[in-house]
Amino acid sequence: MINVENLTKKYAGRTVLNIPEINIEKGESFGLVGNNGAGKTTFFRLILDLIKASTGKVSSGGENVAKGEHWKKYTGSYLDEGFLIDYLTPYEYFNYVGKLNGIPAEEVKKFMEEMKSFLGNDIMDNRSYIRDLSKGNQKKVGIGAALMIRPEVLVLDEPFSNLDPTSQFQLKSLLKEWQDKHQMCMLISSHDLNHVTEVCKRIVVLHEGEVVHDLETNPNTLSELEAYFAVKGDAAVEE
Amino acid sequence: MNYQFTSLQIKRITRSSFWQKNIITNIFIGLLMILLLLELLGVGIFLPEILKKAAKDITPEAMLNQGLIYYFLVTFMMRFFIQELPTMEITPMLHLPIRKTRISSYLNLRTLLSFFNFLPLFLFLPFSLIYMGTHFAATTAIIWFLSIYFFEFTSNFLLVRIKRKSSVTPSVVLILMALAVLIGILNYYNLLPLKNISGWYFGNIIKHPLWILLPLVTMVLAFWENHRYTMNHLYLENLVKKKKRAEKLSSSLSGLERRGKTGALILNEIRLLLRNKRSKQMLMISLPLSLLYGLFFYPQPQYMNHTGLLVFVATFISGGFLIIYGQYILAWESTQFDFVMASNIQSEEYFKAKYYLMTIPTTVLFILTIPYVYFGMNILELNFVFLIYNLGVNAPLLLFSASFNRKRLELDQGQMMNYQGVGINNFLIIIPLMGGPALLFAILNAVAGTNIALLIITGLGILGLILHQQLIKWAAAFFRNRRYKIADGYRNS
Repeated sequence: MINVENLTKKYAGRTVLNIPEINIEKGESFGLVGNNGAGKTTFFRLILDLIKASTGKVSSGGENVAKGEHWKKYTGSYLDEGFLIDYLTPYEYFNYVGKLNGIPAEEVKKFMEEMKSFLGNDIMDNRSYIRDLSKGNQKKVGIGAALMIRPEVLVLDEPFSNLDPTSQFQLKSLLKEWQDKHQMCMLISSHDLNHVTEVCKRIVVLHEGEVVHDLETNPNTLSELEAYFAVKGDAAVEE
Repeated sequence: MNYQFTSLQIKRITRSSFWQKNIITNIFIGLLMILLLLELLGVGIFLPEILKKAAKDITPEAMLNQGLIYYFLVTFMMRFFIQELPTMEITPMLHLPIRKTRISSYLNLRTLLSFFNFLPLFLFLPFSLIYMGTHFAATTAIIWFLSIYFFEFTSNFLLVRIKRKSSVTPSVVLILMALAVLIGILNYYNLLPLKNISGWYFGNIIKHPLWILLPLVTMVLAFWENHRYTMNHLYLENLVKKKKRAEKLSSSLSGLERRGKTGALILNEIRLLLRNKRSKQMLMISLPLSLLYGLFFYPQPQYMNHTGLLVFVATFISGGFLIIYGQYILAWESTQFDFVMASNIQSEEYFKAKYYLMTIPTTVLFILTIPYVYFGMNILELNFVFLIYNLGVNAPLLLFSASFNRKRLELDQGQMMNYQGVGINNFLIIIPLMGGPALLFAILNAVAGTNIALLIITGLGILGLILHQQLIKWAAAFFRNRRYKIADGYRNS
């Protein structure tokens, strides 16, 4: 579904991302982990054609994302607040996203009702603009709207951060359920190794823009990852 | 401590990306300011001469004294619209061991740095030095000038106090305008003879210096009241304003949503314009200005024979909104631009919606200004010709220029005197938009005569209207080529 070839991104001569090849299949759940500055967000931005690759390309469903716009029809994404429209109420926002994707208003309402327990009262009340919601609620709106379009490709950057514990659990089961049901190609980045190993069947570790691990999740993955990052911490202290 | 605060403020300005990245714009704005101040200084220096000529039976200073009250009333009104409360970030200070009185007094004293508080230095200090100093005792000249300053500061603190409580909402504007009209009427029928009061008071200042106590006391009272207010409101909950009430007007337009994607895009942009402070002020300025612009010119016979000028007016009457809104056609959405880029919005659909967002209000503005036909059929004719030109040429031109604008526009701040997100290209684009048609007309008029000139300009507009779909396509393709740079600018600046 997502094919990456010779992808690099340089800022002022410094290479921040260098991925010679990665293929993510339809129905695969792909978790991206790495410390700050490892290039996770850069990678996701390249997949969504928000920044220009220095070399190489990302293809989605066989189409170069930088050339065509067809992939936008089946890609749901939420990276940060830049994906929200802060002067809309949550319902208006869902409805707007719905309109852009040809989803009728009744469907939007139905979807929000289904998601009610995850979205919570602040959002369902629809009384304040998105800019007046808390960070966690803003994130729920963004993730919810990305899911609503029933995407074939879903890209979420740090979906668990800022969410309260209950919402984190809900989101985890929600993502697993949706992924099973709709065979989404799901790309998630996270600092939380626990969550990401639970949700994703494949984990890729980025370090300074390069892929250093590419693992199938098994019962030992979490401890392997923990060991890897603990060593990184020690190394940093010694430096 | 004040030094500390001040240095923080200076750092905030000089280290902001706006300052660092927009040197050319800053120089340009700086030059404009200097020019303005020099002009004011010129007025100030020649004020004694001007008044000597204007005053018939009274002395220049008596005449000026009578006028001062109008100066204060007018500047107070202007302050109301232009002067912003200082937005010092005090949230990070509240938990630090700084006494609240310090923070409060700094917050209030800083309002004195407003542009308006420097006006008397340019307008009245020269008069005090040149005229008062030579006709009266030096102390009288000083006292006279000081009293003006105390009034100015009183006006400043009064305004700040009012603004802390209420912002510029349509109802407040209406009350203020009603008040101004009332004062005007009372003044006109001599029930409230403003100039006599003003003349009497400032005349007394010259005779009895103790009268200076009046503005001194009002100034101290006004400051103290501000201080009291801010001391009581130095809490986070007062600083973070949360508006729960949703704007309702746009829901009456929800029929737009049934008009497919373009309709949804247009509705969303209307919501953007109605729900953000900066865009709301843009509408409040540009729409009335467009509509009333003609009144500045049409009633004066000397302008009516000057077709070149009328061309200029005609361009602006239907194009006022187009020009002010269109300059930032993409930047309005800069804070959510990643959404625009990653959503299922094809560039062409996006630009088509923007095109309608410019052309529909422009046409409506023209229809609303049809009553100008009162000033002659030729006015209506001219306005119509330039409506067609605005729709056919200027609107597509703005679609292209949109891709040059790469500065993030923060919408939660007021529009007045706010240069955040404004680049040099925003000034440059005015030249082809306003000057283009005027120049074109001037050349064609000289070569071929008025009728042919208007015919050709109409023809250009119609050509643009016929080709508009192609032009939208090209503008969208142009945008596609530059999209990374634009998005990067919106993310980072």
